[in-house]
Amino acid sequence: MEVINRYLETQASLCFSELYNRYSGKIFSKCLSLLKDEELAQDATQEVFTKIFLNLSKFGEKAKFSTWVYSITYNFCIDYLRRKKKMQNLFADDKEVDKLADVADEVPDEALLEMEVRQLRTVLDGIPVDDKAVLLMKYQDDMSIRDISELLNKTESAVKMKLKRAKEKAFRLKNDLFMEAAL
Amino acid sequence: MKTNNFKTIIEEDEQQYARERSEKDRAGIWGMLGAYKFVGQLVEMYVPRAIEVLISAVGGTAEQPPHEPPDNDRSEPGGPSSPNTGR
Repeated sequence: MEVINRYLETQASLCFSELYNRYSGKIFSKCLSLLKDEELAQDATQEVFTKIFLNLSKFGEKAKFSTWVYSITYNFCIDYLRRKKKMQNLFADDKEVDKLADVADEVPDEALLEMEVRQLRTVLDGIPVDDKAVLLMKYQDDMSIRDISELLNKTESAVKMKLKRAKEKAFRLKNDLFMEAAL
Repeated sequence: MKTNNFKTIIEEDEQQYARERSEKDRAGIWGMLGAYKFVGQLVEMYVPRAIEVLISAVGGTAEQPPHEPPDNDRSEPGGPSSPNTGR
């Protein structure tokens, strides 16, 4: 019996280490991006990771494992921001954005993906957190529109529109901050 | 290969995390999981007994799984025996 216990213990430990090495840094990075506070991000990483480990048996293999992990992370951070920061309208349907729509052609992905790292960090910190989250989901985590729509409980067309507007905001901010500085 | 500086950002953050926090957090999370496991074991051990106590307190009896006699007891003394009995 002791041997069996030790075996089970070791397996859990190995499984934990494997998952921890692979995902803890990524989870921390996302929590830090969204919560903008290192201590909070550290606590959030611990809670998210515990949640993931305790719910491993519920992973249904419908999505990629990484998508499942990131979904838990985003949900945790979004819930936290809604509760603690009183950001009830996070991911609410955007009304003012109609002004932004159709102002310009859609910003090409390359314009964002190839933005200098320092500029990209500044831009992402300067746009609203819900816009930042959809950009991270799409371009950092390679989540599909369907995955994002399920995570945010929105329709796919709403997600596409949110993404388009988030790109526009990011690109405008980049131009405002760095084009002027270059002149 | 296409440039994607969103990925560069997360790689940089991961490296920073590994340097500065990873080991400390690992111990914290493993400790937390250990605590959950301990609580789980306590619940697993005591909740069924607590339920039995409650049931007997209200005058009922907890249903026991049917008792199966050990294999040795199954063969009857005068019944069909093993093929090697020589009869």
